[in-house]
Amino acid sequence: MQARKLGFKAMGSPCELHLHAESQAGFERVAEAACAELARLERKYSRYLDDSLASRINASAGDPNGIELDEETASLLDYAGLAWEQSGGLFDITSGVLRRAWDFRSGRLPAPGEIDALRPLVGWEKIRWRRPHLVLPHAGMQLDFGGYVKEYAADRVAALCRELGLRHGLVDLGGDIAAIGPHPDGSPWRVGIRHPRAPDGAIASVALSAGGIATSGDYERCLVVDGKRYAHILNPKTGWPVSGLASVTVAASHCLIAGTASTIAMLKGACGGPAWLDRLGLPNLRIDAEGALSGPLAPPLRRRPAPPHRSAPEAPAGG
Amino acid sequence: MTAAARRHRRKARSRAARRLAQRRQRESLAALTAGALALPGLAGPAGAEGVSDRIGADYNFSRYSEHKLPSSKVAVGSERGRYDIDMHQFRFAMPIADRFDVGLDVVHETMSGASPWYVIPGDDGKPVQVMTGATIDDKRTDLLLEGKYYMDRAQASASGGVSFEKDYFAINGGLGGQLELNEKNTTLSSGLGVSIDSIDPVDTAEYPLRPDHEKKQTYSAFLGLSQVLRRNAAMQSTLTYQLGHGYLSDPYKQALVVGEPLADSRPDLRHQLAWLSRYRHHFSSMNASFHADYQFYWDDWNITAHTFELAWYQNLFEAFRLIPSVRYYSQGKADFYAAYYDQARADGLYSSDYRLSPYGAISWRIKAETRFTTWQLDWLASFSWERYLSSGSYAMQKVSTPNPGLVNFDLFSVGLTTRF
Repeated sequence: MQARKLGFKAMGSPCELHLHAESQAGFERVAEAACAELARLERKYSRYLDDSLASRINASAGDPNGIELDEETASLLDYAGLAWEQSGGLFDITSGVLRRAWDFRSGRLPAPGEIDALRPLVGWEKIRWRRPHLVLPHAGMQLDFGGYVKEYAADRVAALCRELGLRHGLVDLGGDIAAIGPHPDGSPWRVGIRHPRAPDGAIASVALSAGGIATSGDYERCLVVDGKRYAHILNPKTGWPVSGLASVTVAASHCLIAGTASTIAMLKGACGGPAWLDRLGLPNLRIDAEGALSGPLAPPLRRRPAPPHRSAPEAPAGG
Repeated sequence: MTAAARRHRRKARSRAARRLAQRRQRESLAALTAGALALPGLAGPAGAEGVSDRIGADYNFSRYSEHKLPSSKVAVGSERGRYDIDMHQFRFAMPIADRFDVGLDVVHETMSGASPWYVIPGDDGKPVQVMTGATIDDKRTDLLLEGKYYMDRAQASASGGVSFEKDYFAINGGLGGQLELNEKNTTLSSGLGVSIDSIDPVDTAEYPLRPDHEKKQTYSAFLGLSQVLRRNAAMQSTLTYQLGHGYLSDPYKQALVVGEPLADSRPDLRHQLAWLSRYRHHFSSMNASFHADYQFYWDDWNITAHTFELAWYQNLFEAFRLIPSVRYYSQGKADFYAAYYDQARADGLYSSDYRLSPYGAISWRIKAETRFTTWQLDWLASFSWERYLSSGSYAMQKVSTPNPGLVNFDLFSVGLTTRF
């Protein structure tokens, strides 16, 4: 059995499928099914496609009758609700509307009052969600699945490959990674973690044989005005980009959970994020604005030394 | 309070606060995990097939206590108390190669109490039970080693075990296989088993009716089919055949034949057939599952039995599950069974064992399970209580002379399971 690789573009990111398949035909069959599944999810949840379900949901905003959702979308919404609760309101899929004020390609900051004008449209607590019925009460409200559907897609594709009989492989959707299973000899995949200021170079490597890994960082899209970076991750409570951490990588039983945890840690920032991750008990690596590495997955030699007045935190065993 | 004591208290309080915060945090991971698992396709074997999930340890403790017999059902002067059994079960499983797991099961039981010996006519003509005079104390230890090999769509397993008791030794082995078809919607399973037992009853000098040394062999085979019917419903059907050969009587029981106690004496061959069908239905709106089982049993001693069982698996909160269940059982008697015998039988077969008598039984059980994480491990703790009541009047058919030794019992279990 040999490892075969397919590179393609989906959900706005470069993707790779690494599969140990018995034959080229077997590989193609699985890869085709994986691409079809990704295309299905993209068609359904992309906010850029007018006929997507996401667009139909957003078009229903302001309609008191709302919209009825299918089982998969309902479960995704339930999950978003849980993540909102567990993050103290920071993980909020209604915050996408703030991008109207933040144009990360424009090179300019929002005009005064622009953010305040959008804030009535932000807040998970404002929507009315009773499975399977969703009402977005104010016209202009939006749900943005982009914050977690790619992670979910990685898990789905990995599960699909397993269903098709594959045991050994890796799904990488632009850095959102799910393992199908370890290499045939049982050895784990080595996943490189990018340096936020040099996105092409790996700063650390993580062993993965099951579950998933996801990274949130301020390098993906950002705005630099007067030398200050404004990351694309927006705090739903202030409407402003988060600052403090350059990137957070988390490993978990599912890529979806890893992605949610890394996003929440980014939103909690340099003070709250690392402590929250340590308590969560998932293996993680965070890189602060100065480029210093910390967390259980940080390579030992490059880990930031503990400040002298405090003893080093106990590192949860990874895995 | 001294400064040192205050410092100590402050430290203890902040430790407690930290622990609480940590626990809340673990709960938030559990909540996210539960949410992720509710998504289509993600509940599958995401980690379950990863090698690491196959390492696990289980411990279970059960206390089985039979209720005292009412004085109206025992012979005057006979013991009324019955069996108590404490059972410790331990299981450890781990992979030793990429696709190969081994598991070890150890069971240790201690039993004490009296058991039904034979039945005599009482003063009012109703049969009454004579219990064994002395209470027995015994220990049993079982060891079972199992190897399992995983293929892409199939599993094969082989096992071997021994069972020791003061008066009993058994050695057993088994082979099993499982095949997944139709995109895992259909699973075929089958297996073969054999057990070779030797029985060396105790106190044969005092009880001359007991044999000194006997042997028996049991062979079994089963064939099963599981089918996913819809996304939320599945059923399973299993047919099991068992053949017993050799000494199939109970050395510690007697039967009263024309006023004289004789040794329990059963045929030396027994063919048994059991057909079990199970149905599972998941109600996602209620986060619960309904289980319904029916088993039909027949053997060539002419015992026919029906078992019906219903269970409701209710998930509550994030990590808690409550499982109430009820079971009904009814059987007819063996051809040669009688509470006692007014005439000798031409075939020389006699048994007054309540397990061969006609009766019905009702039992109910409540089980609670909770998941938690501590010391970096995932745990499942469970507790259950079952009450079992049997009676001639519970049988489907009319029973004119119920056996006085029919048993009622309580069963308490606590268990702890972890996966590494």
